Amino acid sequence: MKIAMIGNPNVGKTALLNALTGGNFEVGNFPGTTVEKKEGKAKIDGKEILFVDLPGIYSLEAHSLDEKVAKDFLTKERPDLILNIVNASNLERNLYLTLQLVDFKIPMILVLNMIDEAEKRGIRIDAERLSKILGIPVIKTVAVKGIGIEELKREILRGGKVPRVEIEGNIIKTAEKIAKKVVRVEERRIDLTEILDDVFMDKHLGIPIFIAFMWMMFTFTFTVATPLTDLIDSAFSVLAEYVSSLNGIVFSLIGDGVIKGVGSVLVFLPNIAFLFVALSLLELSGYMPRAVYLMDKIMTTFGLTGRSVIPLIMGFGCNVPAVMATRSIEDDRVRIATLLVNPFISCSARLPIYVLFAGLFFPNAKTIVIMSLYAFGVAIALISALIFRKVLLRGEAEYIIELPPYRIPNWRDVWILTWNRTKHFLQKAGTVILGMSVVIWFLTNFPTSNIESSYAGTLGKLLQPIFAPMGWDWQFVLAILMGAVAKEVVVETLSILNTPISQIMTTSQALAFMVFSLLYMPCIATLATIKAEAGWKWSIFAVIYSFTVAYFVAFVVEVIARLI
Amino acid sequence: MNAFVLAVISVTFLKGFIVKKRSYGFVASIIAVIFAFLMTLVFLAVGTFSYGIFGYFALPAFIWYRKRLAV
Repeated sequence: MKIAMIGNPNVGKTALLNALTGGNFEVGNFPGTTVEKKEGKAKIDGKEILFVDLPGIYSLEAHSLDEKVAKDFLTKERPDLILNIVNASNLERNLYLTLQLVDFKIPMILVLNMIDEAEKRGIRIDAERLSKILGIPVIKTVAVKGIGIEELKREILRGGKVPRVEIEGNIIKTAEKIAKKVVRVEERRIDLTEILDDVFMDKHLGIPIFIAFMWMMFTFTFTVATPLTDLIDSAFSVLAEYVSSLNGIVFSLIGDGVIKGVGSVLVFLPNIAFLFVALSLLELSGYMPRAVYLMDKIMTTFGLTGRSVIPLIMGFGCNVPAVMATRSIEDDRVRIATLLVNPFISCSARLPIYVLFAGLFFPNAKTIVIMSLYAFGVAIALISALIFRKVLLRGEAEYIIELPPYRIPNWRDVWILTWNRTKHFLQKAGTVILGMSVVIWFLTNFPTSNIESSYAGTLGKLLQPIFAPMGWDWQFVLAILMGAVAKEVVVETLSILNTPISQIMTTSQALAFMVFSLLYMPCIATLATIKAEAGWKWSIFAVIYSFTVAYFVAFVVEVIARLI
Repeated sequence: MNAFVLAVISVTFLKGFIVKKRSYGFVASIIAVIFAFLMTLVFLAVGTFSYGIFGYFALPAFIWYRKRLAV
């Protein structure tokens, strides 16, 4: 049995998928978390069921790529049942999509999710009456708490019903009439969202509070994680030293290459995991979209729309899903602009570079330097967006942003979000970074073990003149070249080369190096995603543009920092 | 920057008194308690002390505002 899960953005479809299948799919508290269909299997009373979680959409008019994905699935794959998930707090707007689904003549069940939030706001829904009007079963659920799931499973086994509803006039009016018949709003208490928005969106205090939260996030990421990073660092150092002290080329490869290389990146695992915990808390609580809304004026000034916000936020984790998230942007010019500037948003892979260099050159101002680099990345992304929108991708675009309600983050969701992202880092360490450690070891040990005359030395020295204006030694040039595969490899290369960083680099050169690492070309995985989402032309453009920007900005930073 | 966070908390409380809105006190007390917790973690991790730890004193205020606002 194949079941399509469809509904507006941010109504808890993925949370429901997790509740029904026991899966670990990422949920968010902002519209557009799901941009491609996700599948989850479950056995209900011995019956095998395939649930397909479709991207959140407002209608089936197929303006954006995610609406097209949903519509194509319904028409081409004809599921056996539709689970139409609606936000109980906003029935009228959600019914617009429900009424469009009637045309498909597929059995359907209406799931009134997040009923607890609606009831807290004094909204009472007569589910029985709604069921009679639509001619389909209506189930009340709270997916994140598992409420109503058993009843929903029973109803799924019954197979739902084909909806029978008369559209009077147009769909909007019909939705309004139905909502009036079944929704009763009692005298309501002040809602938490209103209380918090009062302050978080305050025109004077909003931005200082946002900066305070960012500071707390970075302090948590770098300072609180210190004992764990020290512990991992010591463990890998001892192990690498022991293995490489054994005689033989294989031990040298494992000790000086694999353990040292992979260890130099894994040392930053606590920083990355802590950053993801903090980001997950901010995302799931509903604060993140507010923070961006505060920048509303700035965003529109730079030619982006509300829909660009989520991909930009996601970019702090990893640019690959962030580029994919641009699918929800209806306007193609804005979509391309957003995906092109996304690699400037500092993803977690760049964090090891900042921690290493900031720790060496700015030990007392590490956190503020790294926070500034993140802010600098955002600034470059916005300036680039403005240039693209004024020169290459001209045209007006509407600005719509939907603010989700505040929610106390559920620890399971925080764990899933953090683990899925951290797992991605670990997988990279076990594949790309491991592979690169072997490559770098080979380059540094052949044809001679003298690093200066090895392949690595030759290659680095060959390319070094290109970066001569910044004054970087050939080791750094080689690290940049290797880092094109994945940004973590920059640190890995320097570690395998045994580069005495603080001895052969000045503070201004280090600052320029961090800036260059932040901006220079997207990693291979991001590039492949840009190619898939926008085509070859734009992916080549992304490489040339970002490299040019990185080169120019790093040079300017080096000169200014040297003068200061 | 720690001083900046403390200033933000104080100003938020202050604005609440000026505009006579409890929501400001409520949010300021939440930030103060979060900051106190974070500074405790920092103290345990690296031994650096910050006055932010005293943010726990805002806990009764948080409970008081929560009751008044019936959140």
